[in-house]
Amino acid sequence: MEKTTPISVFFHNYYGNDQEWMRFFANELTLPWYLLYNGVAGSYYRITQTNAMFTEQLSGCRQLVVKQSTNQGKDIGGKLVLMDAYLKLGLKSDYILLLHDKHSPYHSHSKQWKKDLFRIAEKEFQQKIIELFNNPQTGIVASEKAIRNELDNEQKSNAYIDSSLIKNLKNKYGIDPPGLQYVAGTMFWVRASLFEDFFSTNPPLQIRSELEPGNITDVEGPTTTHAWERLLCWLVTSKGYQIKGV
Amino acid sequence: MLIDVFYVIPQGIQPETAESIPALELNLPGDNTTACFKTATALSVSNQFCLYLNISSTITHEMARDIVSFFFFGNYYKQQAIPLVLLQAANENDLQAGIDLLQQAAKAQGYSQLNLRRLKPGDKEASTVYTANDLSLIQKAYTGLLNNAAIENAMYIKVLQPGDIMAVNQALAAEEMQFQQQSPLLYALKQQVKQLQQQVLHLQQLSGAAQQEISNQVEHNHILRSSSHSNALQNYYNNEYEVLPLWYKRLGHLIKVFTGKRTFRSLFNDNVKKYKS
Repeated sequence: MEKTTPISVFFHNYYGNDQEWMRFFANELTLPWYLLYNGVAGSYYRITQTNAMFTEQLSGCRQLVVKQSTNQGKDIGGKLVLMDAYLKLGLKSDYILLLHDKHSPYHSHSKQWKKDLFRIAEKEFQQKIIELFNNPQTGIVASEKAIRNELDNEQKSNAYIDSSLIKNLKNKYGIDPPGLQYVAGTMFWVRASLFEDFFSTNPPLQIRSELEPGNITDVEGPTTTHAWERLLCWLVTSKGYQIKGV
Repeated sequence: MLIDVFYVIPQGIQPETAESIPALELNLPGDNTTACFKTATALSVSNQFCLYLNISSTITHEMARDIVSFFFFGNYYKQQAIPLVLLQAANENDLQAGIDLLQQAAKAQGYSQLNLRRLKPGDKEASTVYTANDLSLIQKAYTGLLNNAAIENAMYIKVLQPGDIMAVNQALAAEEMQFQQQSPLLYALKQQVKQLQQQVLHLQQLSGAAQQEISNQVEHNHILRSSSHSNALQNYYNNEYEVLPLWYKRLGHLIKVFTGKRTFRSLFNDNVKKYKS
């Protein structure tokens, strides 16, 4: 099926290597695309990188929007900055692809995890992803290895099931998913209209103001930032849409 | 240019950016911040800009949040990561209330400080805003700034029509060239001071980022050294494998041998290499 509406790629970058990422997108994306690119201003890796400016014309890229944010809410905060820009600029896409330069330096198996997450940006999977979206019930497509159920998350007890934090957020934003499936790592394709509808009534920067600053982890207890890792998927499934894997 | 020149640009006039810092004007409340956002997006990423807020009455939280969204432009004018906002207001109460809201909204997005400069059109102080058609006054003021020993110098000029920035820039460039010819040593010193200031700012930024990264690494190491991940792996292993009956596990060993993943002799002898890869 031909798609002429560009996809919107939201990419949050903490570790630099901007030029390499731009080339990655130009090489891998098969559809026309808008690139909304957020870099963390205070990142040591970004400050020390050379060749930070984008000098090349990117094949397939219809518009490049560059942002530079504070480190608040980690990649979730960065993606909310980009969602704000997407809405303000009046961009229209059928799909939004959320990505970030994941490292997870405190995970013992971070390299494999990153590889699993990034397959959704690779050329060979994109046709399959679009075919999955041809099913009108599909709301999100992610790497199948990233799809989890919060009920199986033994490490976090019930932190994101029935803690007051998650209950308050679900009530505040009217999110009531039928199940607790979500995409761990917050990298997925989503039907753009679902995010447009939600964030038009719930300003992204308002949500971002509630996230924790710095490189927050949830080892000691649940955080609002990590709650939104779930809620970004649950706002889709609570509208009756499904998460599919590749 | 030795002096930072900020050009206040009303909505409807396209900013020319060569050798200048556009200060996009927003009348609050009233003006459409989204239209200004699109104007800012159209600027080249290599050209810095800032906002000039003309506050005429009470502003809302939403307006303040919309203003803060401009700070996320990579080319928004910041020094030491602190965004600059130029302000004008006739009413002191409106101004102070607006400042409070802006600072709150900025803090909520991770900006602990704002550089707020109040400007007063027609004022005789450094905070005055000149109009672009007052060229002789602008030239005189610029020459005064060049001869001024103060390190922090800036000039603010209101644009009235397209082409104003180009015309004023040319006039100021001529003043600067004359200054260079008349006082070459002072010119060279001022240039060097400006370069050194930029280097100091960059090094301060680098030092702050390095300190933060060290703190991050310390925490990451603490997490890795804690037992949380090994517990998670052990639990996964127990749930997926250990709970299975012995006969099923032994059947699995045979399957490993048939599929070439394990050596046959290792089924009977602990002193033989178990796995082939």
